[in-house]
Amino acid sequence: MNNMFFILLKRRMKSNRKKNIALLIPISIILLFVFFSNLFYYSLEQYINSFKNNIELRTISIDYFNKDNFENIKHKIEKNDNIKMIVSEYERAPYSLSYCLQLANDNKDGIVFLKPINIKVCPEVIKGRKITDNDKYVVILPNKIYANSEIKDIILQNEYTNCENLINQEIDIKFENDVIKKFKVIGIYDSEIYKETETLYVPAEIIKEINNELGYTPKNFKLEVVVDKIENLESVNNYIYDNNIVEKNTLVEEREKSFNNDVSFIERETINESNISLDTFKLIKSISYFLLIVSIFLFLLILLVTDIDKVYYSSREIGLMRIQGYKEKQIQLLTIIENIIISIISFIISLILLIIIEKIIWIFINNFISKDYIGITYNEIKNQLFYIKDIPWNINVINISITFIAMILLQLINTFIINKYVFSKTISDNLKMK
Amino acid sequence: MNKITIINGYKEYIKLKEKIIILDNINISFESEMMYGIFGKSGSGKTTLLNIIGTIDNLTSGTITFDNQEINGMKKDTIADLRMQKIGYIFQDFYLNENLTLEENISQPMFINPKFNKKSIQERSNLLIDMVGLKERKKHYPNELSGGERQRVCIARALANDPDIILADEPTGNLDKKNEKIIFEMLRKLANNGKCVIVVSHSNSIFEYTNKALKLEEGKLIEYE
Repeated sequence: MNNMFFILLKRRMKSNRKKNIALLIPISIILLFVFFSNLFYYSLEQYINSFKNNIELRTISIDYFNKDNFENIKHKIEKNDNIKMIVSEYERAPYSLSYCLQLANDNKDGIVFLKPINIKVCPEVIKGRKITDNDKYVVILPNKIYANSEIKDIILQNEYTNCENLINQEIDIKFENDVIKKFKVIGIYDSEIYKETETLYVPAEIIKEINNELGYTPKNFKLEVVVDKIENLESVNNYIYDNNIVEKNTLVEEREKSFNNDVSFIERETINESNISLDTFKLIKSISYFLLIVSIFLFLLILLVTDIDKVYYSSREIGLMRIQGYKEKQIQLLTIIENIIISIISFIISLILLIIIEKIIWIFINNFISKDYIGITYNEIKNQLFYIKDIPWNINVINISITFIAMILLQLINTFIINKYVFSKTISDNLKMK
Repeated sequence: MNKITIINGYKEYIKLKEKIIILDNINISFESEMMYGIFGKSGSGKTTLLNIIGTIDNLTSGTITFDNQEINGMKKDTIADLRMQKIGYIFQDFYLNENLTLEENISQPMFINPKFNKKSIQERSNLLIDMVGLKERKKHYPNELSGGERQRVCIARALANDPDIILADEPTGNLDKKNEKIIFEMLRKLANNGKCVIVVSHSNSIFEYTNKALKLEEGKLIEYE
C-alpha cells in the first residue's frame, strides 16, 4: 500500500462520512450490549465459583453424642472418594468461641470463631502461607475482620479491622477462665471470597489440646465432612445415609430428644442451602449465558446488515470506480479497510461508554442499594447469594480482546463476500443498484 | 486506425422466460479523430451498445476488439486496465460523487494510473479544470454547480487518464440548449484532437458535430454519413 492508497482511503472516508457516522450508532450500541453481557456472565461466574470454593458450602455437619463412635463413623465415611477431609471432632459452640484481644473494635473484646483446619482443607492465602501438619500455635486470619459481640447475630458495621499488617506477628487469644494463648499469624485469607469475617483457622490438634487443658467435656460432638466439590454434596450425603453410617433425622428438635441417646444425625441446613444455591446458580448462569448468546447473535446480525446496507449504498460508486478502471482487489481493499476503521471507532466508543456506565452503576450500587457489609455466615447464604456489591464486576480484558479480533475478522469476511456479490453483477447493474 | 471493432455482435436478455433481442448482427468499426452519433427510439438498445463498447456490459455472442486486441476471454484485471487507459465515460446522470469536490471528482481515475504521482495528478487536474472553464469552482461540490457545469466536470473526469475513446450516453439529456451546444462543441474538439468520440443522443443537434450517424432499429445498426 502506498501513499496514493491512503489518499484514496481518506477520500473514501470523506465521501461516505454521513453513512459511516450513521452506521457507528447501531454497531456501538450492539457492542455495548455484548460487553455488558460479557461482564455480567463472567463476573457472575467468578462470584459463583468463589461460593463453590467456600468451605462452608461444601461441608456436611454430622452431630453425634457417643465419642466412642467417632472413629467408626470417620472410618466409614472416609471410604468415599469425594471426601476432601473430615475435620476432627470438636465440641459445638461455645467452646470454639474465643476472645481475640487484638482484633476487637472500640477496645471491646471481640468474639471470634476458631476453626480447626489442616493441610487438606485450608483457605487460599493472599499473604503468607497455609497451615502444615507440623504447625502448632499458628493462625490464619481474614484480611478484614469484624469481631462481633453476639454469637449468632452479625451486626452491620462500616468498620472492620484490617489484619494484613499482622502477618508474622503474635496475637493473644483469650479463652474461658482467662486462659490466654499466643498464636503466630502465618497467613491471611480474603474475607470477601470466603465470606468470613470472624473465623480464625488454627491447627485441628491445637483445638483438641486447648479443650483438654480447659477441661472441656463435650456433651455432643460434631463431624464436619468437607466434600471436594459442591456438586458432590448430595451424593456424599446419600452415601452416608445409604450405608447407615448415621440415621436419618432431619429435625433439629430431634437432637434435644436424642440428647442422652446414641443417635447421630446430619444437619440438613448446609445441604439444603447448597442445593438451593446450586439451583439458583444454574438459573442465573443460564440467564446470563442466554443474554451473552443473544448479544453475540445480534452483534453478528447487525454487522452483516450494516455491511450489506453500506455496500449497496456505495454500489453505484463501486460501479463508477470499475468504469474508471479500478480492479476488484483495489476496491475490496479500500472498502474492507474502511469498514474495519468504522468498527474500530465503534469499538472504542462502546468501550468508553462501558467504563463510564460501569462506574455509574458502581456508584449507584454502593450508595443506594447495598449496605456496607461483607461477612455472612452459611446460615444466611441464601439471603446473601446475590449481594450485588460482592460480585466482582471486572472487565475481562481477554474477552474484550477476543471480541475485538472477532469483529475485525467478521468485517473482513462480510465485506469481502458482499463485495463479491456486487462484482458478480455487471457494471451497468451496479450503477442501477439502490 | 480502427480503435474499436464489433463483429457479429449479438445481445439478448431473458425476461420472464421471454427472449428479448437488443442487438442483432452488429458489424461496425469506430476510428480515431471521428465523432459518431448513435440515435434511435427509446428502448432500441443505444445505451446497451455503448455499454458493450465501454466493456461495462457483455455481448451474448460476437467479438469486440480494441486496437486489434480481442476483449472476449480477457481477464477482468486486464479489461480494467483497458478501461483505465483507453476509455472515458460520460453519463446523462453525471454520477458525480456528491461528497467530493469538483477537483477530487476529476482526479479520482488518476489514482490508480501508475504513470501519475501526487504532484502530476494535481497538475493534470488543474489543466482539465481550466480546459472545461471551471477554474474558479474547483473547490466546490457538485450540488453547488449547474447541470451544464456538472457535465463539464464529467468530461474533465472522462479525460483524466487521457483515453483514446470517449463514450457519452445522453450527455445533454438534462441540459438546456445553450449548455447542450457547449458540451457538443467540447466533444467535437476532442474528436478533432484525435479521440474517438461516440455519443448517444436524442437531440438532432448532434448531427451538426458528428462525422457519422448510426441508427439503431430493431437491433440493427444503420450507418448514415
